[in-house]
Amino acid sequence: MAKNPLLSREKIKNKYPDQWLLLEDCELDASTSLRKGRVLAHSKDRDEIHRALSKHSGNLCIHFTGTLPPDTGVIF
Amino acid sequence: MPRVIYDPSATSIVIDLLLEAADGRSSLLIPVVLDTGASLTIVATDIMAQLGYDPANPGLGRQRIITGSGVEYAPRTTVRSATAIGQKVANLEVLCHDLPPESGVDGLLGLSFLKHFKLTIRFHKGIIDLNKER
Repeated sequence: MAKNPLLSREKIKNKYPDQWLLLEDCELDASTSLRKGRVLAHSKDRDEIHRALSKHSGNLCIHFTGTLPPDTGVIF
Repeated sequence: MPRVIYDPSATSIVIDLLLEAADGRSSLLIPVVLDTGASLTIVATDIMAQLGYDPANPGLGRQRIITGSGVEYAPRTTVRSATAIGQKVANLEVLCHDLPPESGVDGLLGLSFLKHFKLTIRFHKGIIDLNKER
């Protein structure tokens, strides 16, 4: 099966808005931030992506393209 | 200079954290919140298991943690290395603990990592610099 194309972080965000993604062949910049990657799985459900992790090996990346609603605060 | 640019209007500061697997043969990049209020770095249990750290091992020490909603206990282990904002820490202590999916992250980057560096956050411009102390 053909691999998905290598996409920039911006293109990933545009193509898969508000989703969790599992990526391979990731390229990072000097600040350890994702620059490019190849999508292996995508979902609105984080647990699906965590489950997909077990089906793949090697150097991988989990990425979330959504943002919190502006009226939502975060306290951990 | 290790630097991350982020959206200063965002609700929290989310950055990428690269974790080395227990066998040293692979790695996983995950989104985490930069949290200077967290004593330790926290990573989701599923992630730690995938990386081969076995968070369910009863032999692991359990760390008492005080959260916004009470006191909990979480397994504590050591990852071979963790890298964020261009800086790497070897043998980093990590707590295995799950944050809600709505958080949009798989963990927190806390003081156990950040204390090794000089951290500068320019909140108005959305710039984070992380440098080694001289």
